[in-house]
Amino acid sequence: MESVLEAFRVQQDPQARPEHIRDANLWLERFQSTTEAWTVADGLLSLPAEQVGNGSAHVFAAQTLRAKIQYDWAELPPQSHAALRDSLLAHAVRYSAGPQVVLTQLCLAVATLALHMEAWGQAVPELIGRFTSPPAEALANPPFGSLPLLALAKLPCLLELLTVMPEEAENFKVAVMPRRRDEFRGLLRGAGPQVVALLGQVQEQCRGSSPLVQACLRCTASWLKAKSVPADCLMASPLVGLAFAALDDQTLFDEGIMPPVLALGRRYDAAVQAGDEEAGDEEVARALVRLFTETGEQCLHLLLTQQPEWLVSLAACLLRGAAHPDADVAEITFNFWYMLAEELNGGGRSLNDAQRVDARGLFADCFRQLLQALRSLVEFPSESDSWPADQADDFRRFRYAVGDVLTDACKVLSSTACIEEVYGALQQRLPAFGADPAGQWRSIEACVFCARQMITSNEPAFFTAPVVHQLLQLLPTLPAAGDLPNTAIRTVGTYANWLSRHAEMLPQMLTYVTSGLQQQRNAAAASQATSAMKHLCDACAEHLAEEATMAQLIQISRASPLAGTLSFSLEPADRVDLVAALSFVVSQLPLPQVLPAMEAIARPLLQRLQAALEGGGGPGEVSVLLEQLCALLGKVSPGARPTADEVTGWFERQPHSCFLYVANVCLRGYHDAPELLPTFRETFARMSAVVFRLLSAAPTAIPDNPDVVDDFFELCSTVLRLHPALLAESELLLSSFQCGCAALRIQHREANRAVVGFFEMLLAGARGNLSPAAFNGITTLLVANGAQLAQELLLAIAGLVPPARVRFLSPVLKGLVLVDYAASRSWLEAAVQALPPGGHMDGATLLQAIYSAEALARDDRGAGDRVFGQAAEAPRAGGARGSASERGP
Amino acid sequence: MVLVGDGGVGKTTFVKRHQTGEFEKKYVATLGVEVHPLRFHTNRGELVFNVWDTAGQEKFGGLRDGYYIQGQCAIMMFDVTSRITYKNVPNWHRDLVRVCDNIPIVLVGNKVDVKERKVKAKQITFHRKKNLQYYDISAKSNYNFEKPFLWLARKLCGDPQLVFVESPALAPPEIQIDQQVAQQYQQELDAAAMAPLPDEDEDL
Repeated sequence: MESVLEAFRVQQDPQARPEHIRDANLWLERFQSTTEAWTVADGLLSLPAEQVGNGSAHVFAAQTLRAKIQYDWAELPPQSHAALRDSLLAHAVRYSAGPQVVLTQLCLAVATLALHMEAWGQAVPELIGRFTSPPAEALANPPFGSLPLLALAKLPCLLELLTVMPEEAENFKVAVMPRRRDEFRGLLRGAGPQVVALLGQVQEQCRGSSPLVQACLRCTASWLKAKSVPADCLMASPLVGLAFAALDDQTLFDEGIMPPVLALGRRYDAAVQAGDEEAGDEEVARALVRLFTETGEQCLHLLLTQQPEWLVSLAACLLRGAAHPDADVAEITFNFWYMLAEELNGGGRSLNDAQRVDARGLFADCFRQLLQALRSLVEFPSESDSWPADQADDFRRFRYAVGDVLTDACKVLSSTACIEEVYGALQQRLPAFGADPAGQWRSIEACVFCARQMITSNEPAFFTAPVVHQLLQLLPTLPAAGDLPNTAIRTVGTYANWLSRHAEMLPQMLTYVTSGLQQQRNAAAASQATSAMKHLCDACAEHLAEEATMAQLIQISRASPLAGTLSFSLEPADRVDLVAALSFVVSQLPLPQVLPAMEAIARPLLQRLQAALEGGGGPGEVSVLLEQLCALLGKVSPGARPTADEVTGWFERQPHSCFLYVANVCLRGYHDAPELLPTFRETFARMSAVVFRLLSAAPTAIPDNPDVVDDFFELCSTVLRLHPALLAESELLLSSFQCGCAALRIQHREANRAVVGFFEMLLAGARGNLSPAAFNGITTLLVANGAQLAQELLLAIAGLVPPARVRFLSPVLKGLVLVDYAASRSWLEAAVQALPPGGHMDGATLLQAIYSAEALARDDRGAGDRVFGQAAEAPRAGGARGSASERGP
Repeated sequence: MVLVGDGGVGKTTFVKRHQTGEFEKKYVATLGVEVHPLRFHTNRGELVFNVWDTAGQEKFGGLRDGYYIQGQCAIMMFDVTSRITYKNVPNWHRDLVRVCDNIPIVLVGNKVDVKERKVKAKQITFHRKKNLQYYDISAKSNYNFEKPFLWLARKLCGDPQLVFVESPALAPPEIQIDQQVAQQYQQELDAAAMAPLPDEDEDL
C-alpha cells in the first residue's frame, strides 16, 4: 500500500521529472493488473484522507476498483461478487458527503458490477430498498428540515448510483455480451416507474437543498436520455419541469415552454443594444441565441406539425441571431437553418407534400430575410486589408459556412429566385461601385460570392434563367478592385455546368479566366483561376476540343515564369489542375489528334521527371510531376504502357510509394485493355519484389514505411478486383499474404485500412466467382496458412489495434470462418490459447459467440453480420466504445 | 491541462508542435501519459500549461481517468476525417467531468488540412450543448494552434482581454492550409451541386 501511495505521489507531483512520472505510471499500471489491487484499493479507501496525501489517492483507489471490475471481472470467483458489492456500497455511503469524485467512481464501480453480475437481478429496486427502508430513514415526511441526519447523508449516494446506472448500461468498455446488455437495459426500464416516483418524492421534499435538487435533475436527465422512463409515468409525476420532457416526447409538449422562450426575444434585443457598452451582455446575447437554436432544433418536428406559427416567431428570434455582427454568434444558428430547410425541402420526416407547400409559403419571407443577413455576414469589413493572416483565414472559413446556409436557402426558395434576389442587390450597388471601385468593391464582392454558392444541378429553370446569363455577362465587365476579380473568376468556374449548355458564351469566359491567370500577382490568386479553368474544361470539354482552343490551352499549361507568361511560379496543386483541365479536353479530341496532343503535354513533364530523378531532385518534386502525369493518364489511355514501364524502373531505384500509386491509377484506368495485361503483370511482379525486400529488411521496416504498406495493399486489392490471376495464380500470393499478416498490426490508420481491405478482398475471392485456377490458388493458400491469419486477427482484435478499428476486422474474421467452418475453429482455438496472459480478452466467449447460429446466419439484411460484429467487439475490453454497430436499433 | 481524445486523432502531434516538436507522419501511440510543459508569454506574464497528453488507445489507458485528477482545464480532440472520433466526444466529456467538474474545456477538430473531411463544420454541435469552445485546427500546418490555449488562459485568469504578447516558437508548417482548404471546399460545393448523393461513409 505504501508503494502505491509513493508511486501515486510521484505521478501527481507537477515538479517530478518526466521519466520519473513515466516510471510511476508504468508501476501503477502494472499494479492495477495484479490481483492484490483488489484488496489494496479497498484498504486505501478505508484510510482517512490525511493519511493518503491530499486525498486524491482515494480517487485513484476508487478508479482502480472500477477498472478492475471493468477489465478483470473474471479474476473474481462468483461467490465473492456479493461481498464485493456490499463493500463497495459501504464505501460509497461513507463518501456520500464527498469528495464527489470518489463517490462518482465508487458508484460507477457498483454500476459496472451490476452490469456484470447476472445474479443481482433487481439491482435498482434493491438499491432503493437498501437506502430507503425503513422509508422513514431516508425520507421522512415533510418538512424538509426534519429529515433524519443519516438519511439525508445517504441520499447523494443513492442519487449518484441511480444516475450512473443507465449511463453504464451503454458503456461499451464493459465487456459483456450483447444479450446481457439488453437484459440489463430491460431491468432498468422495468425499474423506471419506481425511480420516477422516488425522484418525485425527493424533489418535493428537498426543495431547500440546491445540491440535492441538482443531483435529482441530473439523475432524471440520465434516465430520460436512456429512455428508461415510460412517458405516462413521467406525466403523472410532479417531478421535473416539463422542459426536459418536451425534448424527448411529443405527448409531453406543453404550452408552458414556447411563450417564455419567445418572450426572450426582447431580452436579446436589449442585450445586443447594450452589447456595445458592456461585455457581459455579449454573453447574454450569445446564450440566448444558443437557447433559441437549441429550442428550434429540438422542437422542430413538433412545432412544424403542431404549431407552425410559433416556429415562425422562433425563426424570427433566430434571424436576429443570424444577423448578429459577431460571426461566432451568427454561426450558432446555422444548423437550425439546415434542419428547417431539409424539412421544407422534403428531406425531413415531419411533413407530407401538401403541408410542405404550405410551410414553404409560411417561411419564404423568413428565408428571404436570411439571405440579406447572410449577404452582410460575408462582406469583407473595411479593416480586412490590415488583417493578419489567421484572421483573414478565419473569415474565409466562416464564409464557407455561410455558403452552406445559402445552399440551404436555395433549397427552400429555389436557386433561381435566390440569384434574382442577389442580382437585384448587386444592380442597386453598381452605381456607387462604378464611382468608387476601390472604396465600394466589398458589397459587390459579397453579392458575387453569394451568387456563386447558389448553383444547382437539379432545377430545370436554373439552366434557362435569364438572370444567370445577365450575371455571367456582367462579371468580366466589373472593374478590378480588391478581391472582386478572384471571386468573379471562381464564380465562372463554378457555373461551368450552366455554361456547357450555353456554349456560345464559352470563348468569352475562357478568355476572361485566362486573362485572370496571367494578370494575377501571386500564386494564391492564380490558383483560383486554374481551378476555374479545370472546371470549365471538365464540364465543357466537348465544346473546347478544337485545334485553336487546344493550342491556347497547351500554351496556358506551360505558363511559367521561365516562359515569360507568368510573373510567379504556380503551386504544384495548380499545375495538376491545369494538366487535368487539358486532359479533359484531349479526351474529347478525334483519335488521330490525341497522341500528338498527349505528346505535347507529356513530353516536358517526362523530361523534367527524368532530370529530377537523375539529378537527385527531392521526392517532393518527383511526386508533384507524377501527380501531373496521373492527371493526364486518368483520361487519356495511349500513354499507359510506357509510363508503367518507366515507373517500375524508377520504383526499383527509389522505392517511394507514389510509384505504386501511379501503377494503381494505370491499372484502374486501363484494366479492360487486353494488350496491356503483360505490362501490368510485369509491373506488379517487379514492384512486389521491391516491396517485399523493403518491408523485410528490418524488424521495424513495416511501421517505418506506412505509405508503402498503404499503397502496396491498395494495389493488391485493385489487382484482385480487376485482374485476380496476376496475384492468385502466382507465387506472389503467398508473399503478399505473409506480408499482410505482418502488417495487420500497423498502427497507421490508412495503412491498416489498406491491409484489412486486402484481406477482405482475398477472402471474398475464396467465396466468389473467380476462375477455377485463381479460386484454387486462394483456397490452397488459406488451408495452408489460415492459422497464421487467424492468429494475427485475434491479436489485433485483442488489443494491438485501436478499438475503433475492430469493426473493420470483424468482416475479415467472418470471411475466414465462412471459408472453412471447422478448420477456422481449430485455428481460432489455437490463437486464443496463444494470446498473451493478462490480456483483456475473453477468448472462449468470443469463440462461442462468433460460432453461434445467429452470428453465422446468412440473410439479406445483414443481421448476421451485425451479431457477428458485436460478438467480435464485445469481448475486447474497451472494444469500440460507442460503436455504431452496437448502438444500432 | 489534460488533453484527451481517441487514439490517432493527433494529440501528441499537437503538443509537439510547440517549440521543439516535429510533425510525425508515422503514428506512434502514446504510452499512458506524457507531460509537456508549454510556455506562453502573455500581457500578464508567463503562463505554463503542463499538458498531460493521455493515451487515446484503450490498450494503454488503464489509468486514464486518474490523469484527470489534477486537471484545471482540458482540450478534447477529435479528427475531422474520422466520424467515430467525433461520436466518441460525448464519452470523453462525460469521463472528464465525472472527475473534474466545472473546468474550462475546448473542443478541437484536428486535421482540417486533409481534403477528405468527414465531419463537416455544421455537424459539430456538441460544444454548443455543453457550452464549450470549439476550434478547427491542423497540427500539420499550425493552423489555430494558439487559439485553444488563449481561450483557456482567458478563462483561467478571468481576463477576457488577455493576449499572447509573442507567438510561441512553433515547428514550421508543413503545408499552407488556405489554398488546400479553399480547393477542398470548392470541390465540395461543386460536387454537392452536381450530384445530390448521400455522403460516402466509410467510417460507419
